[in-house]
Amino acid sequence: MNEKIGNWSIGLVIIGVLFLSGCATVRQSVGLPYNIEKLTTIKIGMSENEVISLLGEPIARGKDLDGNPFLLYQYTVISSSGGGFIVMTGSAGQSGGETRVILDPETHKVKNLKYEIYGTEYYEKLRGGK
Amino acid sequence: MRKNIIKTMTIFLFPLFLLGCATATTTMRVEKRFQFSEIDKIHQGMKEEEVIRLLGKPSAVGIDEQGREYLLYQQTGYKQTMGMSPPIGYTHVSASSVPTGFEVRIYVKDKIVQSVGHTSYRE
Repeated sequence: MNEKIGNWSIGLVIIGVLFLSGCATVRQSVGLPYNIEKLTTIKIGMSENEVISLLGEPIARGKDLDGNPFLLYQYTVISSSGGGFIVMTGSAGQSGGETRVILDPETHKVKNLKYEIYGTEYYEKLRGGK
Repeated sequence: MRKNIIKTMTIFLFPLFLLGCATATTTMRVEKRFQFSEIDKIHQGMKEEEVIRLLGKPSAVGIDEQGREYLLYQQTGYKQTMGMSPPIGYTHVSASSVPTGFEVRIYVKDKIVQSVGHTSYRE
């Protein structure tokens, strides 16, 4: 009888430890994929349609505080992994990013371009040819 | 008697499994880790390829509102704490995340360093 209770207690302790330990990998994406590699081909003065044919349909369109229309592209993948027992440690990586193509309000041609693209895999693609 | 104690303990201990807190430290993956003092080696007029040799490939590349091209190096992480309290029929979870480390932004023009900026989070 006592042996049974003892086994049960050990089982309870094991379950408790399992509740407090573990590891996980999470991949989360925000936005919609677009042709990030083609960013270097976007030039000032290009038409809105040309931009869309290169990058794809934007995730959003808007008007900035200066009254300029813009196309917003957003696609970020965050992958993180971690594990531990009570205290967790982990690492996270980010890939992709946000691009804003600012258009002239009258001609709808590219007036300005702003982006921040994460991931070492994009370094050569975006800086290599410059 | 002992069996009853175990039963009672189980009834009271089980909700405690659902009540708790956790802390986590997450660091951003980078090609190379370097100390903050390393950025003193980056100076105006330096070639972009020299920067890459010293600091590795950047975490991000970008163009800002003024059309300035930059390389972004993130040597950052997050300290996260999370708590959970499960009163019957309702679970409350609270979490906070504090950035740590530093990031460096190196402005380049025609592959030549123009200026260096940085943000350091308090430890």
